[in-house]
Amino acid sequence: MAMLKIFNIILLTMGIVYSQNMDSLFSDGNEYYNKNQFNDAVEAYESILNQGFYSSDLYYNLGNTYYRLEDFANARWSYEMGIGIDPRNKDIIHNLMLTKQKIPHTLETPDSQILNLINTLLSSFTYGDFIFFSSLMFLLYSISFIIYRLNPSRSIIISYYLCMILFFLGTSSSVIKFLWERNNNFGIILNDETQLYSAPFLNDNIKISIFFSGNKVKIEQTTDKWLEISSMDGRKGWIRLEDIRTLD
Amino acid sequence: MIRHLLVSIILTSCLLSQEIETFVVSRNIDIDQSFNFTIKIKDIDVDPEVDISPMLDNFLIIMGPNIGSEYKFINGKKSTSRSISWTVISKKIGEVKIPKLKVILAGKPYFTDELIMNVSKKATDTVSSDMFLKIEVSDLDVKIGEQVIVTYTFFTRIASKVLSTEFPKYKDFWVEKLFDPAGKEITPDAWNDIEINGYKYKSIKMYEVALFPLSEGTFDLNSMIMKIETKEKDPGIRRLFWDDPFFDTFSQRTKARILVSEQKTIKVSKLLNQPQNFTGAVGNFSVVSSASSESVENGTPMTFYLRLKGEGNLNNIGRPIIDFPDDFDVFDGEILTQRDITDSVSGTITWEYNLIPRKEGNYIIKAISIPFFDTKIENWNSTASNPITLNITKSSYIEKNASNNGLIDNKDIRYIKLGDTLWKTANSNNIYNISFLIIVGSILIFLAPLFIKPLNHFIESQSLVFKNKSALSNAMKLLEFSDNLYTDCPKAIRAFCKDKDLIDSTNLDSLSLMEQIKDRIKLKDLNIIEAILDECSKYNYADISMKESIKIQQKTIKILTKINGYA
Repeated sequence: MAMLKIFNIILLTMGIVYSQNMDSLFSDGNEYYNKNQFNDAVEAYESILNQGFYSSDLYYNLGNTYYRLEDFANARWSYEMGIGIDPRNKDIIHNLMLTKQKIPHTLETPDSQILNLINTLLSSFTYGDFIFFSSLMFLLYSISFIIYRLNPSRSIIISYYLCMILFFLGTSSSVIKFLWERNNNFGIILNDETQLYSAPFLNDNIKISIFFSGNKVKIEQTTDKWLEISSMDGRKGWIRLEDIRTLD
Repeated sequence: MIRHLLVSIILTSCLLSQEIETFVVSRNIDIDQSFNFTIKIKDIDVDPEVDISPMLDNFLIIMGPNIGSEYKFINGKKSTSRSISWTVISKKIGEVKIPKLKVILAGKPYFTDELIMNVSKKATDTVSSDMFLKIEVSDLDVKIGEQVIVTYTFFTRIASKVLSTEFPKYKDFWVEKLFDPAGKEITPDAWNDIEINGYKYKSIKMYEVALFPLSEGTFDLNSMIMKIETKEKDPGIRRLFWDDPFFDTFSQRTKARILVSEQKTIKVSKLLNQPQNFTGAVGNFSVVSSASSESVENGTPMTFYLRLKGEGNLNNIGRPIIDFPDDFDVFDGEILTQRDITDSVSGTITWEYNLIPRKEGNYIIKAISIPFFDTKIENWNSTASNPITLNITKSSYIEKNASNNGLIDNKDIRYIKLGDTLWKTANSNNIYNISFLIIVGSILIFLAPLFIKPLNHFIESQSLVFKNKSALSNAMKLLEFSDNLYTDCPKAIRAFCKDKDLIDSTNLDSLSLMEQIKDRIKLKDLNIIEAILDECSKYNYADISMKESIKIQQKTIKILTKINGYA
């Protein structure tokens, strides 16, 4: 028991120390940014990521720094990662939109009312948000169930069914979001004129097409050095691992 | 061991002494004449293995191999030999070589001698024969890429059945099969009646291809070879007057025959003075262009189609290079080729170009001219499509976001976050923990009705036990702090009985009280209780001395203590 307490204290202390270290790196990065030393800022921010820590603010600041360095592919990657954590962050959405305008030859999905609605619903909330919403609805549903049993009045019955519907909606949305995230892995093309091959080999005869940096593509499958990708315009093929930064 | 050695020595000596001969009956043959090719090996008892693949370029095997053995006794000396033979037919005219063939005997390779066969055209006139295979070539002097139709037709005057066919292969041509009998059933309706030089024939198309020369030069078209089974009149049996000379089977016998088509030579010449943007079209064509939509939003993908229609080498034409406006991203799309099923000679080829406009405005895709070598006029020609106007409108996606959210008003990015941030790691899952706790709590709430009833029972029972135990002390407290013992003694008795669960309520009158407790306490004690209650009732409003009051108090305490001992 005593050992367990000591272990917990050590873990807590380590967590605080790490957190302080991250805060210091983060503020260093911010200072570099303020002094227009963007390369140093990128180094500070990326070192936090390399240690396994992240936050929407970190991705936002990193995206801004890459934007200032005119590395719009990495800037887009950072903003997309930030949106993954905080989908309703207006600053990230704004900066991402401006970054997309800076990317030449961007490929976007065709405009569709239904797709936009689904996309807005799915992309405005994280998987955690959906789970939290579902659990809250379940709690309300169970409370209204108890009240309904004690006092089955009309208003209680209505709220009971409303909570039940919201709970099922929340659960369905969580499942859809989970499946969406599991089946849709994306990445951002980093290198200009990235060559697309029809098979995972370096061979001039199997070159299919060229992708430009900053474009978002769907990852179909991976090997240790190659990724099979597909784009919004229907192209599909293999690119090298170093040509892409995955959004996961 | 010695026996094995001897056997090996004998076998080796036999093999070393082997003599291999190759021979044919005659070296001068007609193109459609089959002959026997035999390899004979002397002094051997094992079957030889022969690789005849080198001779298959020039000859077709009709039958074989047939293996035979020969034993001879000359002057008491035994000699053995094996022969292996094939029935073959030449595919070419002229001096045709049977190359050296590899013969393997007991694992050791040997080679036969070469033979030169003189193959000549058939001496007899094909037209006068009772059956022949005719080749028709649309043009023997063509340009590179020009379409040549080659048709093989079988003519016969006697009942016959096709046993097998060997279609020619064309190395220097792009080939498109126009008619292939493989998998098709030949019915009597498929035969045509035709009269040639006074003879009535039945004819059927056997094979038809469109050839597109790929390079200049002179090229031989190999012969097509057919093995036919015929029904011919048996000279020993007289034909009766009602017999059908074509399909009658009575008084006829079957015979296998080989038919070889004539060899043709095609001269292919180069296309001179090729236009700059020539992509290989030879024939006669017209071109049209179209777009999937002529009015699209900026950034929306669209497809541009260029369709070439006509007769010619559709599969050998390269994708034309089109000068699209600079504000379009262009990606090569699919190529679709379709042959016209009515004639199998003409058709269309469609090139798709995937376009993504990047700016708003009106754009014109200019007329696209495709040069081709016109085989009708034997000169260069060209076909051009109409220009297409594309209207690229503003993207509603960007416009909507700009107007609804006011996000694009500012043309610079927003500033970085300077405050503290909440760090996360791959293992941080607070929201999931909270959600889990909420779900567990919700489940417990759901199940609460199952636990509430037993809990109430338990609490009630515990409460009764507690009351039972504290019944005497509660009564004593009431009596201890009483101002009027004659009023409070009955109260204490009622409270005691209620706590002991002897009566339902404390508001009972004396008679009801006695009625309810009579079966629960001893008769003697019941009488004492009755006496106390009567006394209290009697002296309740009377002025009684303190001494008497204490007496009734002690009496009450005593009886209640006694009842507490067993009730």
